[in-house]
Amino acid sequence: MFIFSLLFNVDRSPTLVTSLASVGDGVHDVLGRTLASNEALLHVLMWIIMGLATGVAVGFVAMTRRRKMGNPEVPNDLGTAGLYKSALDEHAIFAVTDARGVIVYVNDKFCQISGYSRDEVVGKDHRLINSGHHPKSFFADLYRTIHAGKVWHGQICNRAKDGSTYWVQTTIVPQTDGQRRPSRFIAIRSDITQQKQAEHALQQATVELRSHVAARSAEVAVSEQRFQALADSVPVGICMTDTAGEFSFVNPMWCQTTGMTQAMLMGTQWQTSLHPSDSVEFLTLHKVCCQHGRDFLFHHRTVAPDGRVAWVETRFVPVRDATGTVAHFVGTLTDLTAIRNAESDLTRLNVDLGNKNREMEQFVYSVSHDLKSPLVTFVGILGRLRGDLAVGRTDRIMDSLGRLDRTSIRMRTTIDELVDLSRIGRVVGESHVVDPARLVEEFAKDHAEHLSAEMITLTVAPDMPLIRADRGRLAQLFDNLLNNAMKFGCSGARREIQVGCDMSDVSAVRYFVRDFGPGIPIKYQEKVFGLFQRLSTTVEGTGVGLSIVQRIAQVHGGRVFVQSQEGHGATFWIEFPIAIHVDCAVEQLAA
Amino acid sequence: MFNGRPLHFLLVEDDDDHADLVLSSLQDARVLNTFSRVATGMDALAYVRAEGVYATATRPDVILLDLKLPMIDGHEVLATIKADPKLCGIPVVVLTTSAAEVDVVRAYQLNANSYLCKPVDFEKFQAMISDLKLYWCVWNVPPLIAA
Repeated sequence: MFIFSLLFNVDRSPTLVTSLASVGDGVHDVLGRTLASNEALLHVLMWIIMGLATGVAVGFVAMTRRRKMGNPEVPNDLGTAGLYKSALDEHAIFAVTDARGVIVYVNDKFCQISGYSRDEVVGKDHRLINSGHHPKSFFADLYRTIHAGKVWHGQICNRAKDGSTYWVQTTIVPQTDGQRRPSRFIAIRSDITQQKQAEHALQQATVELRSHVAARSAEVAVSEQRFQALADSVPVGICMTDTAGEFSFVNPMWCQTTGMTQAMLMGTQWQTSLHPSDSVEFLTLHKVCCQHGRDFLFHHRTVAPDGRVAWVETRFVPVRDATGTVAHFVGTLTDLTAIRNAESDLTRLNVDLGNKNREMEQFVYSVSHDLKSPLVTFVGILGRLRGDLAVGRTDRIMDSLGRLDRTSIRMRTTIDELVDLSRIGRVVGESHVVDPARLVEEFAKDHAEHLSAEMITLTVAPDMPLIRADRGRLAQLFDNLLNNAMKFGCSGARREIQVGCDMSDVSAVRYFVRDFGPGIPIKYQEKVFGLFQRLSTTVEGTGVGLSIVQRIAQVHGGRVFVQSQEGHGATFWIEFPIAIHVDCAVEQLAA
Repeated sequence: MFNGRPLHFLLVEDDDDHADLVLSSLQDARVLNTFSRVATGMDALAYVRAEGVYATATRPDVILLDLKLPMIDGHEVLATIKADPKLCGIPVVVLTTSAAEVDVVRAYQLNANSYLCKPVDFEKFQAMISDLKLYWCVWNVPPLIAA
């Protein structure tokens, strides 16, 4: 019963153990009943072992001596046992050795799997089929177990005659003699080569899979690191949004450009940083692109929480899943502020340059004409003088000399004024708080004699606003306008010059110089500010004065213009940007 | 001679000295002619239209026109004369210190009959005015009935 238990424990089947309980009472009956059942084979094994243990195996050994190719015949007297042995032969690899390990019996399955004939095997020990797979300790353990009279279970890799290896699930049962020493060993094996191969393949596959997974994980980690490094360092904002436009990722540059933190942006949509002027157009287009999975490209402004405005180019590209459905959007944000500023600077510079070129052309044109004109006079008068002297005509000498004098003075004045005009554009003096009323008063003082002789009234409005400007240039501006008013605007009945201001426009400070003379026809009102443009032949002048006035206004960011109706005087307006206006209350407060 | 009387020049020139130089050169030449001078574009137009103080003025046979004039400049005077069917037949010779291409082109576009640049040399100036007078008084053939 001890051996049976050991054998059946191999299968660790509680059902079988239960079945064993009845073996001692009526083995044959039980076997007969259960032969057809699934467990029949195991019962056969049980029986065989029992038979062997009681000397049946001796019969087998005797039969092997017949050296037949087929399994030795079962003696008739064995009866059912012979049938069970046949069944065993059909299923298992079977071998019996003596106490020294010399093989005394093998069945056909043994020969079949090992490739050795029975004759080649019997009389040899199991080293014949040792594959070398197992370490010596493995067999040492095996022999120790069975020599101790214990059953050994295990899986052994053997080598067939043709050199191939095969695996067998092995159970070795020692048969002991009267002194409980092993006299024989019965080895029952089943071929598990395929199972081992499958196991091996599975192990191999597992190892490969593990290494593949590890490699892929490493790749993913590297790729993620790379992406992170890129996302952190590119000078372009990068984001990911879901299909509704909600941020799921933004890189540091995105935050820097929009002035928002990642925490502020996550889970929000675009509205948070859009400039109000671009918002509607942006969101409309964005919605369409989100709905239809289209690329999105838009130039617009963003506003940071601190109010900083940036010009940006926003791009969105839909990312689709395997089915072609838009899974999310990947977006970029390029800061165009610097480029746009540079562009507008460039445009402004171009305009400035164009203006300067036109001015220069006009200047060269005017100068070439207006400086040549007195030269023509010079050579003409000199020629006449020479001719007169040659014929002894003396009556025109003084007249000719006087003309030369006047011409040279006119030329000098023109040159001085031209130099002055060119300086205004280049040299801007230090800004001071200037009171135009004071400038007019100074002019009145300097020209008191002339004003009173010509019976001209000069009045200044009270509360003339102060401005921050180049005092010298502003004095020059008012001098020119007041001089013009005296020269050209006081020829009629009303000899009056008014200086005043207009503060009705919040963006500008305006002064005016008004006369009540003949006025200027509308078609010449712009022309009067042109270089060397004169409206009168009767009054001395170079035609540079109003150009100077205009230039002074321009270098202070302002402009001049004239309002006039023929016969009703002229009003020259000087307009400055409100920025240079000096608010007395604020000034005092600051002081 | 023009229709049995000496050629009448109208000089439109704001600079008195230049006017004197031109007129004295016109006088010096041996061919007989007459002339008038006005200083502004407005006076020039009044003269050719025989308006106001110029109601009885002699109709000019040739106009010598400076370009740089106060208010109505030479180009405007030229354009007005050439646009007026009663006046467009009067030859207009532009006489100016400006040699700027833009002025020359514009003058011819406005149908100036000739463009002369005042030389900065007395002899040349005299020679030019003298040749000009000879050209219009001797060689030029005017229509018998003034256009």
